[in-house]
Amino acid sequence: MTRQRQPPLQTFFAQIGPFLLGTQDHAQTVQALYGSQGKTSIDAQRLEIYGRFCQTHRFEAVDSVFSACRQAVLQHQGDAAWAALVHRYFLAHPMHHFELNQNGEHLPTFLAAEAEAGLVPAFLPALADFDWWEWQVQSAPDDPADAQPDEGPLRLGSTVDVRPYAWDLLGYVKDPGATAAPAAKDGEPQLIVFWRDRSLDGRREQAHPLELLVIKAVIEGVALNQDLAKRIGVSTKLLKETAQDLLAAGILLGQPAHLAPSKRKTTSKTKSEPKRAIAPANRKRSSSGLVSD
Amino acid sequence: MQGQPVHDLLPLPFSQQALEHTAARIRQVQQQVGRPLVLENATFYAHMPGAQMDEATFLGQLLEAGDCGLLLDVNNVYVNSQNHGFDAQQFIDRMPMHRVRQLHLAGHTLQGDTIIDTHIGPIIDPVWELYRYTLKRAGRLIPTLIEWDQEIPPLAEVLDEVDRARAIAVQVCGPQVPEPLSGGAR
Repeated sequence: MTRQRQPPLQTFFAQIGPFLLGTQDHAQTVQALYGSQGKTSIDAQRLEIYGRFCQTHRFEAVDSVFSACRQAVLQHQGDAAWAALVHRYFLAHPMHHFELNQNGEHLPTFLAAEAEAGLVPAFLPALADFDWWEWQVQSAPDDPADAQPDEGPLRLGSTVDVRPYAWDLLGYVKDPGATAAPAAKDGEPQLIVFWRDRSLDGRREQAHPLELLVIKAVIEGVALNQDLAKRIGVSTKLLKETAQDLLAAGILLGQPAHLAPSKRKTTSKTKSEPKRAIAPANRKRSSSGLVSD
Repeated sequence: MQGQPVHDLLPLPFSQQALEHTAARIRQVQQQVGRPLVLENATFYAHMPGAQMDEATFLGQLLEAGDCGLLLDVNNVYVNSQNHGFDAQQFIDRMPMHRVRQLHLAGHTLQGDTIIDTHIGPIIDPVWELYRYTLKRAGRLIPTLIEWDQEIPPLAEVLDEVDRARAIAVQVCGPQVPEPLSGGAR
């Protein structure tokens, strides 16, 4: 046991803190803590274990949550680049949250600055945002409002979020090795809806404009009726079928009766009615261009 | 650490100042939460400079000063005894058994010349023997938790460990042990 010195507790924390946070190396820390006499002791040597553990936790905080982002860096820049990136990130954003993975919440913003400086590929901040929202959906606490998904008024599931991306991230994460980078979306962004479905599985898919209109209508309390169908230029039948798909997928919740076919005669199908993108996970999708995982 | 979580168990110097600092925190937590706190003996791989006492003295005095319960991790006692060269049974002898609220058992991993508390693998025989010794010293049944949280095996293997813990508890404390878990998993 090393007994040669008794630094005040605050001094001890100040000496060991930078080492545990990855900003001071083992040799410097040993010198500060144990001095020249004790720096070869078994305790001084084993101090390295704590530095290693804390470093491991920094990687654990981001490696899984930002798996697509990490894979992209490994592919483009190699292992050392990812290690350096994680180190830079935690220097800029030291751990602050008791939930380990929550400490990665600033990575997309951090990467935006890194991309601006040309340190990482331009698409990486968006990919990190994509990773982050996947995890947010998967780890979101159960909301009592979701407990009875087939009851109550039509409403949005608590985990639903729509994010715009300037790249085809869905195509990229489906097969990240196929292309060096996701294809840029010229003009309209790729709108991806993230949500936890009725089986509590996290899902993300590209949202079709009609689906987004239905979601918007539900949020704003606008009835999904013939008037709305007419305003947006689709048949009432398609409007309600789209809502039913969203309901079955778990994006919308509420009594299915709200979507019962109208008693009034519906208008005939509009000539170029848009396709729907989102279908329940357990329903076989048609070959009409539906986006899947 | 300096206001930042590092997500690992870190050792304190076994000093009077650290003891008073920690005891004050324990009292503060118990007061704010309004419930008794149970403190666990942790593994540590390096003594921090400034130690004025050994771990058992530090822990015993801390429990008194903080007036809290002890979660006695038997595997941690074994790991520390091997890493730092002390007698595990003597350590148990010095624990205030009336404060023990729960026992922990676990596997561990040898890395180089150091045993790391990984909670991997089955509990080794010396830890089982130390568990038996601890129950004898306590003279009563103490709720026991088996920790296995990495490289998790089929449930049946974990339940075998539970059965072994129960068997030891019955041998030492008599047949006052709850019935084994039932179910079709085995």
